Amino acid sequence: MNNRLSRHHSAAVAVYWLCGLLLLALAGSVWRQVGQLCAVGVVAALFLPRKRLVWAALTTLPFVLLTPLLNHNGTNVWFFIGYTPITWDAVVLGVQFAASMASLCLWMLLLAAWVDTSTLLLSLRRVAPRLALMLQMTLRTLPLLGKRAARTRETVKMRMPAATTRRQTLRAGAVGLQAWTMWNMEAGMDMAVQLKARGYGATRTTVYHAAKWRADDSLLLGAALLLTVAALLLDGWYGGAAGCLLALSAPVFFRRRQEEVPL
Amino acid sequence: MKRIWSITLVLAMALLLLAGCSGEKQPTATATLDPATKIVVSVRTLEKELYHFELARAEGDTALSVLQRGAKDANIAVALTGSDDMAYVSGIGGLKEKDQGDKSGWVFRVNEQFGMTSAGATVLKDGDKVEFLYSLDWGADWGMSY
Repeated sequence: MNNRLSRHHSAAVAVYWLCGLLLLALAGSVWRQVGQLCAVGVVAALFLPRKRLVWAALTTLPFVLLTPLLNHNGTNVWFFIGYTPITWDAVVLGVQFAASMASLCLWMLLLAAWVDTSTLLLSLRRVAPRLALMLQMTLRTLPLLGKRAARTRETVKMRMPAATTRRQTLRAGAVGLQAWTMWNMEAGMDMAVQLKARGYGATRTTVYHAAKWRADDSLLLGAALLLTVAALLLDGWYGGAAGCLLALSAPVFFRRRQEEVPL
Repeated sequence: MKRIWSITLVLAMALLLLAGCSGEKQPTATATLDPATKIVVSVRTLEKELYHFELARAEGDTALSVLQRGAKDANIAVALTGSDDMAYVSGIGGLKEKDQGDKSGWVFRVNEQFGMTSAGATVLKDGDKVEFLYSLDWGADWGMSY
C-alpha cells in the first residue's frame, strides 16, 4: 500500500495530499462540521486495516469520558458531583469530539499510507533542490539515529559488565553516548565528502522523474481541487460527501496506473 | 494499548460510581422559609425571568453558593470557570457566555447593586436578593458601569 502513488506524477500527488491536509485542517477547526469529518473518517476506515481502526477508536475514547467532567454546560442534567453538574449535552459533545478526533486520525493514517515522503519531495526538487535534499536526508537520518542508538546500546551491554549501581549505569550510558556521537559524526563527515565529490550544491542538478505527466494525473489533480473546493464551500454532510469522493477517487486512479506500469 | 484500556476503564468506572452516588437529593426548604432571612435568587435575561429560587441562608453563603444550591435543587446546570473566590459563572441552564454575541455573558447584582467582587467572594446577609442577569453588552444593558 505504501507505494501506491509512487508511479504517479509527484506534483499531482503533492496537490492531492495538500488538498487532504487543507480539508482536514479546516474541518478540524470548525467543530460544527462533525458530519463532514465523520463521513471522511468512515471512508478512510474502509481502506485501513482493522487493527489501526481499533487503535484510533481507543485513543479517542478518553475524550468521551473526560468531556462531561470538564464541560458542565447544557440543559439536560444527568447527575451532580457535589454542586458540579454532569450533563447529557456534554456527554453527546464528548462523543462528537471523539468521533471527530478518530476521523482525523484515520484520515491522516490513510494519507500516510498512500503517500511517502520521497514522492512528495520529488516535487520540491525542481523548485528548491538543496532544501529537498536536506529534508530528505533529515527525514532518513532520524530513524537511522534510532537504529544506531539501539545497536550502540546492545554493544555496550555486551562489552561492559552488568551495572549494579547507579554510578555504573551512568558510566555505561556515557560510554554509549560517546560511541553513538562519534559514529554519527564520522558518518556525517563521510556523507559530506561523498556529496562534495559528486558535485552536490556546486551546480543545479537534473531531476529524473519516473512518471511523466499524463491524462489521469490531470484528472487526479482536477478531482482533488474540485472536491476540496466543494467540501469547503458546502457545509456539513454535503461537504462530507465531497470529502468522501476525494478519498474514494484516489485508489481508483492509483490502481489503474499500477496496472499500466509494470514494476 | 493496555494503558489506554486502563485509563478508559478507570474513567468509566469513576463516572458510573459518581452517577450511582448522585441519587441523594437535598430537600428544598422553600415551604418553611422565614421571610426575614430567606435569600431570593433570580436568573434573568432581558426578556424574562428564567428561574426563581428561594432558599434559607446558611452561614458564609455567597451569591455563587446560593445559585449552585438552588440550581441543584431544580436540576439546572451551572457552568463555572475557576472556583471559589475566582469563580466566574459562564453558563446557567444551557445559556452560555458568548451564545448571543461576543459581548454576551452573565453578570450578577445583589439588592440591585453591582459589586466589584466575584459571585464566589460576595457574602450574603439575611433577606438579600441575588440576580444573575444575562447581558448582551458586557453588563451595560443592565445599567452596569465600570
